[in-house]
Amino acid sequence: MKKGLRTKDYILIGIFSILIYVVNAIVGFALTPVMATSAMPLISGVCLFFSATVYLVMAMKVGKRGVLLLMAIVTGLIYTIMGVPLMLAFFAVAGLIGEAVLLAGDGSQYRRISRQALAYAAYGALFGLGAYVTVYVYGSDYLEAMYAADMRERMLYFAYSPFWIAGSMVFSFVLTLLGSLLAAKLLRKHFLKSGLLQ
Amino acid sequence: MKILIEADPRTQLMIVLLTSVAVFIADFSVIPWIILVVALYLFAQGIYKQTAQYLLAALALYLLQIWVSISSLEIMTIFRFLTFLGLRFIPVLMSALALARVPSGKLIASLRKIGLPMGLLVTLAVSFRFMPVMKLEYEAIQISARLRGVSVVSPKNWLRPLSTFEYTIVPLMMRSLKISDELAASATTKGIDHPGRKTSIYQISLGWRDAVLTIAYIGLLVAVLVKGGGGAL
Repeated sequence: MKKGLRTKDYILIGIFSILIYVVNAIVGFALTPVMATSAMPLISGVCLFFSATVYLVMAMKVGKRGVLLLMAIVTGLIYTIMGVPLMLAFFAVAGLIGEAVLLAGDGSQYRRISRQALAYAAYGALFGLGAYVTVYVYGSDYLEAMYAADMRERMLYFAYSPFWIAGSMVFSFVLTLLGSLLAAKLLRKHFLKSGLLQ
Repeated sequence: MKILIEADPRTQLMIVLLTSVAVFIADFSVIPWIILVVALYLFAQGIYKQTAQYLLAALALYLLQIWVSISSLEIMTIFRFLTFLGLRFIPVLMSALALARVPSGKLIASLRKIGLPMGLLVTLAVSFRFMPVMKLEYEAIQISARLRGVSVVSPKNWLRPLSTFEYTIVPLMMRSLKISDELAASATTKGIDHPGRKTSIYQISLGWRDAVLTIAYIGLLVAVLVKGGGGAL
């Protein structure tokens, strides 16, 4: 009975995936006017800093394999509906890599904050590249249809600069871990004390 | 409200995907036409009020877009980016309206016929239903947050983003945990874990209406794309 996800887990993951998506979207939207032209690849790191809390609450509550992957698939499907079907495959891969980080262990690692934080950070390092993967696969024609000229130049510049891409991945990774520190504090303060999570 | 054409959820999902592909390959100048096609599709299903709201929103964005492009201010390029994105998302969001009105029992029964695994189905059905609920919850939380002076809306709290985030997200997650528990209990009493074949109160079948709707929709989209010069066509 204990192994594998059950219906109540699926419901919880559904709800929290949307919560994570919304947190990411709102933070990203708020930062776009400030950072889009100067440091666009860094936006996703800040998004992940905040959404790490939501992810960790979900992961701690369920405490089983497959949470990160399922969340990644739901996120990918949201992007599919918004018109970028490629993201489904991309996020599924990112989710699998995150699950791989969690694989080693006797099962108790799914309830350990440090391991879950590491997994989300591994997922997060790829998450930030989503926009650029679209650029690589579809080429600049896609951008031409999607964005205004000045924006397009910035995106191409960021997408083909190894410095920015590596920087974005490291930045996402580190900020997700930092966000997990905040999350651990919040978890102890609100959720563990009240007995909502054990 | 009389529904002229009642489509199968699978058809409606197909139309969402078609719209998203069309928006993806279309030139920016074609977007208004795609919005019109989607509006026709929604009117055919008897969705008037929300369609009108979306049309007004699209019009507003379009006017903003024109205003931005003739203005010479540097800061305007950011708005231009946002209006571009907004106008591209509106058709897809509109096409999803019809799907959002399907009762979840019908949605699940219909999508099960495609052969999606039950776990994924439950997750998806819950997550897409949860968005409006979350908006209500968020508003309720903000009311009490404003009374305590920790609301997200008041600019003085933007100076302490971490605490403001905490005061918003923690109640929201508490409520979400509670809602997910209630939903799980409700689904279990309705027999979601029953291992055998499931039946549904809804008649699910693809009829000639679905065929006509899909063909007409594809026809209109292709016509619009060819005439307007879609990027890839």
